Amino acid sequence: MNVLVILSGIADPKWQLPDPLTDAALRAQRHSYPLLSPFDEAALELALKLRDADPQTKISVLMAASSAQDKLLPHVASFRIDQVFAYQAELHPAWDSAALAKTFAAWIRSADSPADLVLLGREFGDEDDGSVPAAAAAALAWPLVSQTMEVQNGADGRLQITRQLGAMQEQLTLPAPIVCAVTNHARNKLRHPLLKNVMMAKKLSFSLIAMPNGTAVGQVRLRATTLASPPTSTTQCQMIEGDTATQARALARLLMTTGDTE
Amino acid sequence: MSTPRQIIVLLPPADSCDSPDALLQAAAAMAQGGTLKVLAIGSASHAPVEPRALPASAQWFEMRHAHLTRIDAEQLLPVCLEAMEQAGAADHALLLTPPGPLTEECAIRVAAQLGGSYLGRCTQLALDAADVVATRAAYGGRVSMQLVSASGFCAASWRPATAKSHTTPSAASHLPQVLPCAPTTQLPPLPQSTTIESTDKIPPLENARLVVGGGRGMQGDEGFALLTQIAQRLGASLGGSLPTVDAGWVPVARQIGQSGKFVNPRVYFTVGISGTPQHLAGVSTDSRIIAVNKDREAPIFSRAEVGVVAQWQDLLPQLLQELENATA
Repeated sequence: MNVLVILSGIADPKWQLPDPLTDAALRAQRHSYPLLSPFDEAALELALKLRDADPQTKISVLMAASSAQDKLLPHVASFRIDQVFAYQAELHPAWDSAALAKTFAAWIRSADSPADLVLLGREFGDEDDGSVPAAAAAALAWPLVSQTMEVQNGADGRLQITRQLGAMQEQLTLPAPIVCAVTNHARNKLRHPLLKNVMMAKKLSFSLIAMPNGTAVGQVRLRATTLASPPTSTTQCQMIEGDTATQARALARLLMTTGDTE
Repeated sequence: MSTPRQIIVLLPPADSCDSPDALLQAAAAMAQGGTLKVLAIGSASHAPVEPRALPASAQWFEMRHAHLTRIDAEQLLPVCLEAMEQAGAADHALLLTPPGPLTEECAIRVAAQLGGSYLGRCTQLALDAADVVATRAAYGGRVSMQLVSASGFCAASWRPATAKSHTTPSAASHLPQVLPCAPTTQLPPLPQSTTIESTDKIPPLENARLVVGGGRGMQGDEGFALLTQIAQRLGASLGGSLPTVDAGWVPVARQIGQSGKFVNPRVYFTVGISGTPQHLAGVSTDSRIIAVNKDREAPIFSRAEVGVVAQWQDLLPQLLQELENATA
């Protein structure tokens, strides 16, 4: 099976964002403090699990890179990925999900070995709020399984997929090809790469590929980015002081009334 | 002079979406001078959202598909497309849906089918001549991004900033013209699927009056077991931040925040939650926050109305005891 994992990476949220904020400053932030998001990590881990189960599985990664020197590229390669491709993220922003999805679809269709399964995190980087995977599936005209938690290779080349659907979980059996939007889940925490593979990946050099235009016509443009104000209360927080027993009693009273009388 | 953009609200069955009142009010305000079209999808087993008074004239299309049993985007998409066609709503339009995984997927796929743009999960939307101007969060809620599209067909999920669960119709409300329709489009074959029986008996986050939420500070399953008992004692729902879902302490269906559910309870009781923008983006500004954290400087206290500085290991057992005594 050929698995394609499309990764975006995020700017590490532990670091303060630049002020004043510009599009270029945000890109620089992603370049300086790169991190795989929990959703990226879950998508990559699912691919690695499929290879654990069947060593014939080939894994390719397509990465939205800040540059050819993006620190995430050797990190991803250290998981013994068969092929790591990188494209210039700046040219294909995730906030225009329809255009990006058409570009992905054109690239996937032009690949030498067609993918059977495309895995993306359910949010694609810092600029996406969850529309890229669905747009990619629509552009490919492949089925989408949202909130994917687990994928296994079943009988007859079918895939068994466990997903969250509303309040319940279900197991689907579907034929390839398919797009899965992978959610974070305790079982999908990304493993650590072996040290020898980390050392080998550090010696690799990467280059950026030119993505096909496909039929991608940008219909959305970015007008502005501004720092969002953190939500604050208009009234000062009323602290419940005293020893723990006093605090527990006051809290219980407050919660029992669900705030109606306070 | 160009034709004004049609405003259309697409609503999945009532049991599959949060209260759409705030969205409907905001959409009606946007459609002033024109007619708002509401496409309420349903079936025999899943009732469509019921018509309600709105501050603008509206056509309310009740789209009951006789064979719609499974509610997912794959099944809803053809019904949505037929509903759009029956309502004459495909050209020069802005399609709005309430936020949520199901509705967002539907909106993206409808936009893709019609060659339009999807603008994301928006906090603000406005029409500016031929453009749709959308504001939405990025970078985990730390950045506000303004996007513009002149595309003939635009779609967006919208949670208006002043969302309230009980929006009272104004005096100038109009009852919509209700148009029952029976879509006949053929649905895709049902997938081979098995439902996994859930052991989670706590009420869902949706429409909960009281939500108990835990964060990374709970340190493990033991803390969440205590929170679960407290939630059960209060008849509350239970949620967690993204790191607690990553750690497996809470199922993903109970994740609150930018990447999870949006909750709008009367009271949100948080324990061990620091109050990151990513998490608070999933909590209504109308909710009253009561926060417990061991760090007096934690950002959650700048948003909370009531705070307790304490170690949860000391406080929660005593709180549970107090609740048990009170309800014995």
